[in-house]
Amino acid sequence: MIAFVARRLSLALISIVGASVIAFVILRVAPGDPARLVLGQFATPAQIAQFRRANGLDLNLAAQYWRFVSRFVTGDWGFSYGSGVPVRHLLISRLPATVELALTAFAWAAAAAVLLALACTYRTRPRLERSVNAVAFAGLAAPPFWLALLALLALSLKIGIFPGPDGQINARLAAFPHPTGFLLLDSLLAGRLDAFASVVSHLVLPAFVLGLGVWAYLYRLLRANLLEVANEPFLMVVESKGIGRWTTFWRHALPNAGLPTLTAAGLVLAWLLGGSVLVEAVFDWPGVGGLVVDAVGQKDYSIVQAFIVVSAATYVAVNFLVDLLYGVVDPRIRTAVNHGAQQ
Amino acid sequence: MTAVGASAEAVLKITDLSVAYGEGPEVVRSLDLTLAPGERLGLIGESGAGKSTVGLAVIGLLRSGMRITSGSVVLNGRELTGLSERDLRDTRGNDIALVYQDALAALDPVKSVRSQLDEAIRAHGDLDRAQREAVMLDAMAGAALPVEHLDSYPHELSGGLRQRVSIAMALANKPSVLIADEPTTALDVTTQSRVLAVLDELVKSTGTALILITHDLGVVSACCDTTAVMYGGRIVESGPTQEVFQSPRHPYTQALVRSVTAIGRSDLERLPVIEGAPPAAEAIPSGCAFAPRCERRDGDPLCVAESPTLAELVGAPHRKAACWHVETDGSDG
Amino acid sequence: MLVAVGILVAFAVLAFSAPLWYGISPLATDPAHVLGAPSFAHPMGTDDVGRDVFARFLAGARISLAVGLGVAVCAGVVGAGLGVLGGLGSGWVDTALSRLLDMVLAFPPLILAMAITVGLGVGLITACLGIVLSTIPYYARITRSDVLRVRSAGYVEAAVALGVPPRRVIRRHIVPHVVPTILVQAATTFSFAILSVAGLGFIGLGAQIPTPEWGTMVTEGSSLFISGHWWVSTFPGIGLLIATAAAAVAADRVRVLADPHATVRTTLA
Repeated sequence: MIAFVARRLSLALISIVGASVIAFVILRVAPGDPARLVLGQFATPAQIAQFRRANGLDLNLAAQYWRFVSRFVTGDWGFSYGSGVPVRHLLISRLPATVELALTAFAWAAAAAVLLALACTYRTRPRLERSVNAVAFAGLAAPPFWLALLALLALSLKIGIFPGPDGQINARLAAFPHPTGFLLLDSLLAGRLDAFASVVSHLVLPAFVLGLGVWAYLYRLLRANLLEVANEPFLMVVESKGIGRWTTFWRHALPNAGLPTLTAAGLVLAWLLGGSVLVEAVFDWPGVGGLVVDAVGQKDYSIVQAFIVVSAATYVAVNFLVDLLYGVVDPRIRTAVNHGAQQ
Repeated sequence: MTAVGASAEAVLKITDLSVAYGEGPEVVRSLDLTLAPGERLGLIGESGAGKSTVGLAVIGLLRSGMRITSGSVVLNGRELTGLSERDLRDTRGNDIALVYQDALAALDPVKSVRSQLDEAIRAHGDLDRAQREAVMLDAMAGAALPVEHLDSYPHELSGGLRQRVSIAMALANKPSVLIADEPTTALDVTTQSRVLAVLDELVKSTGTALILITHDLGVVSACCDTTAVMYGGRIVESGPTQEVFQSPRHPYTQALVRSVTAIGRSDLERLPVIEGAPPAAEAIPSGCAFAPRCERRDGDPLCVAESPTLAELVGAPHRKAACWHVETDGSDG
Repeated sequence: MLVAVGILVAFAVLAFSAPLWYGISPLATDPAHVLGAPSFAHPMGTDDVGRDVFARFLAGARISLAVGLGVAVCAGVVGAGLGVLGGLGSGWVDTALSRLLDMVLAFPPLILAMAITVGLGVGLITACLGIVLSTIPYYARITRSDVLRVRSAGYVEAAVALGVPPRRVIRRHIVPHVVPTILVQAATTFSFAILSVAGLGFIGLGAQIPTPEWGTMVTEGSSLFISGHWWVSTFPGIGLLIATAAAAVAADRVRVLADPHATVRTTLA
């Protein structure tokens, strides 16, 4: 088991390091002198030289990389000239909003995917299946940003059920403390039901749009896995023991189908990361995605760089954890690992 | 050894059973079969003859659009066809159980042996944990399985061990009838004999009647008191195993026995073969299904006109054969 | 399947032949007809500088279809080549390649493309390059596993034992097995590429204004929604939806054709 974890961990670390190199190299290749970009056209040569020295831009590439990595690891993620705040502060302060959005999107997507996959597989319901399938295809194909705009247009501007693109909460409400940073929790903790309602209504559209792709993917994957398992003889053998159909399905078919669906977790995260960048831009959501889009617009590349490295690290970390989890949960892999088999 | 179909009340009585694909062709046609308590019956036939279907029909687990179109199945005096799903569930695993051919596919790969065995026991009767544990250990012992395997997972066990787990699971509640569908087909010969021995012992000690479905005559002769031969969805011959093998009366059985006993005979140049192939369900000829391949026909129009009934042989009421020309031939060639 | 492919072909034909039958240029501004609603003269209306949306829609179709095809082909060729190299190569070649691929795969796909467009300069070409680079590992991985599988197959061993030269073995035995998998992947990459380029265009990293790329067009029109001028953003989005959905359906059918036993692959690209 230790060998399994160690090997996986070393692979993950290599990936992260490699990714950081790639990210670093790509961004350093950026045309344009960062000094000029930051200091503006009228900077004197002395100021530029000083800037370059201060930021290590006069070192060779390898030294620059080392500087970058060693600082990154100790928490110095650079300085955002656009906002005058260290990048790390910015990212962390905006993180909860994105996490809240992503979690909500994931929650509804996963629940809906499971329910619908079950409904369509337990009993053959061809009409339901066909319509769900069609929606799933559309969900995977629709560009999230465009869908967001349409949703805003239809449900907010025209019908007015949901608020427009004005962030997480109605700014005109009285303020309340944010201990966790998750407004859903904070508003409840502060006993402010009006705030809670506002947060919820602001969450609906963005969470729906962001989660749609996730839902479509999870639904199709789970359904395919369920179909595969449904044809296995062991289900019939379980029934021959006198177990009812639903219990058999719930106790045996689902776990077997759910396991391979677990491995999709990493991809789901990738989708959420990429999607949040697009969706937050539309809804003016105060999260990390919106931050990055603004940074791109303002050419504040230190933010973009940090975001890219952190995204990659998170992605690798999640995949690593999912791998581990799978190895623990699936007895076939667990025993192979315990017997020192090569993965 | 129990006498076949004698004074003992039949534990399983199948009458005129027909199974078809939806509105389509019949796979099992008007089949009659009787099983006495503790009797071990071998059901032989080629693939596609419908033998597995009979087993599934009896336990009520027909799939893929197959359904019982007519006939009755009486288990311990109780009619099974037409029972509600709930009542059927009560009998499954309790009065009648199934052992499937491919043990790796028959066991849930992510659950331990203990969990699956326990599930079988919990499904019937209200035993508490300690009692269930006792039953489990009993079942494992009956199948000659070391207790440590309770915490193993199916993929960790060899084929023979897995099959014995399936058997232990099926017989845990001491059902009246066990249907073993090709239980040894996926195993090599040595493992096969071990598994059969276990099956034999266990079935004898629990008093369970056995329907052993197979295409392997060797397995049947080793393990079964009686034999029934299936062809084209029907039983064409039945009787005590030794008698059926030594003096088969139906031309199909004769040909089968001939092809098996040919091994070891040095005077034959070629292995005897039955010309032709078994008919597909949609293409079963009218009249006797075996007629197109039969050597005994001699152009008799009766054979294609009417399907022979499974009748007792003159002078041997415990033996039955379905052939219009059964009197004309005695022992095998 | 036929419907899906038919739609794509119809799009392609329509779009690429447009200059022949549709007179208005996608770049021509017309200050007199700014923000006109869809009408007979301008079937999809005009945008905020008077450009005809329909002409831009068609031009956008040209771009998206070309992007999808181009990315799928480039990534496919390079990725498959790498995969074959890894599958057939000696131990350390394979390991080195795999580690390199892992590093690229460490990036969520859109994020890598973002990095490349930011680093190498924004624009349609770099956006495409970014997406090609982020999809190459998927091709490489599946090709490699296919090659490994086929390499140890009995008939390959037999061919080698018979003295068939390696290049021929590759061509006649390995390639035919690898091609279907690549095709399936290519079909999925097609739609992924279109959507991703559009996404990048939306946040300003892809095609730049005034290039009539669908994603960029959506951005242009986003601020116009509030004032009720819905057509500038809506039509390009519909185009994206239809093209991607058709490609996805086709991809699904190709997958089923190629391998009836396959389940949904856990790859996004």
